[in-house]
Amino acid sequence: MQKEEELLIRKAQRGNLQAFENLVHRYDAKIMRLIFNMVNDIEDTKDLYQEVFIKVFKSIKQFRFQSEFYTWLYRIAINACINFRKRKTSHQHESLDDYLDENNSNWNIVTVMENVNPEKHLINKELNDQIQQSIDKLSSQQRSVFVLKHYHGYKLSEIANILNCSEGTVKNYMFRAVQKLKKSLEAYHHF
Amino acid sequence: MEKCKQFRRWILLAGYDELPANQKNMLEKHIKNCSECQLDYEEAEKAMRMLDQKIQLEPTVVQLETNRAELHQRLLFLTQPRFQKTWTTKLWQIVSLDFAPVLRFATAAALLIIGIFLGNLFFRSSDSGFEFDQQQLSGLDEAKISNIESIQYDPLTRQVSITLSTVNDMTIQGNVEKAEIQQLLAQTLMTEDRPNIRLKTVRALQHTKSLNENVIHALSELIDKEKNPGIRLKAVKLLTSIPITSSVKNTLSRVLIRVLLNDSNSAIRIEAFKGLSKIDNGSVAPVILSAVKNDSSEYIQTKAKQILERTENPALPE
Repeated sequence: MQKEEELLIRKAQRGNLQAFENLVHRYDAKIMRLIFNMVNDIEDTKDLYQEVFIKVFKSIKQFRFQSEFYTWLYRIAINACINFRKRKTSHQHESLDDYLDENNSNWNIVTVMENVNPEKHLINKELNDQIQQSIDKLSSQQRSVFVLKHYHGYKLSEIANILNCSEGTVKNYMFRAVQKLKKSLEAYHHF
Repeated sequence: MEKCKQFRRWILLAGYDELPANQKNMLEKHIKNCSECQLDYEEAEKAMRMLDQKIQLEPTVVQLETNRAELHQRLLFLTQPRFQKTWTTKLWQIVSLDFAPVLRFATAAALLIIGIFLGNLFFRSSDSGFEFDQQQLSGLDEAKISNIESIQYDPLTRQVSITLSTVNDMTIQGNVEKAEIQQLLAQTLMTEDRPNIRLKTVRALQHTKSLNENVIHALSELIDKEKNPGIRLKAVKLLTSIPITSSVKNTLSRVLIRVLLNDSNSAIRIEAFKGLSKIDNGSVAPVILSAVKNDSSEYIQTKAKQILERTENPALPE
């Protein structure tokens, strides 16, 4: 952990709001993307952003510097998303059209693939929806591992720290998640 | 096949660059020679490429600033002094049990356990009875036992429970063979006004193997004074059932003779007669027999005449 970050955390633990907000600004964009990947709903993402950081603010005194700050923060975010999905009994799937609504112009379209024109993806919206539906069908743990690995690029060892489980367990979740996704996307290999 | 299973897991790890170099080399060599794993590798690549095509949304700076501004307001709201817990609010939270549901449940359970513990500590002796021990007996030996609520005998444990109605109900419990318990029962026989209690006392005494002198004396008094024939009959039966020893023989004889001569109830007199016959090895003193040979009970008359005839002529068969 960087010395500067440690200092910010210690100040935040003493109730320094400015220091806490500096910490937030370091991670909130990534956290927001993670939340969106987990819940697939823009409005829910905004609500969960507030919920996660309020929770972090209230419990930051419990952070004991025994792990990296970001793994602790990600764990809180992942747990909040899992609990949110449990609370929300019927999960409404949002189509790509919903994202591209004029009202949601506060979001940028990006892809994992580089040098790809986003407009091309508009053509492939059917595939996009299908992938999202397949991800939604994964279990909470499988989805968490897959999203952290595939769309956030964390190492398996880092994911194990975030989810507080062994690397072997993470590999198992990852393997099962990809197997399920491959199976449910078999019909779309032509894309 | 088992090897291929392992390699298929490695294909996934290789795709994410999570496979050590030596294993990656092994995998590459295997794929070249295994068509199934080769196919699996190609499918995995396709799937990865497809999953990469999923559109990712990233919040713009404007969106982030909006979120941060809202969070800032919320944090300011939370850190206002009125939201900081003072010692009074903390105290009120404790008093009003304003905790999370799990903590509330735990507090309720803890209070219940403390309540049960305190209840046992302070009130147990007053309502749940106590075992009769030697120390308590010395005090109770001379105590006037009154206000008896009930007397119960448990044949399994051979315990007598005497419940006294005082400010708080009190139960004295002990083995019916114990001298102190018999003493209490004897005292009850002599002082108790209610016939049902006297009857239960006699019944409790029926289960003893031996009666001490105090009990025999109390039974004797009871038989003399008791108006209820049922209780008198039970008392006489009790007296005639105990083992006849030299120490009780005279007392028993006197009591039974009095009953035989004076009791108005023939059934009771018959019991007394039977008892006397046992004491005197089948023969009752001739004086007594003469007195009762005109008894209103035919059984007594017949028995008395038979014994008298046998006394006069021992050659007669029994």
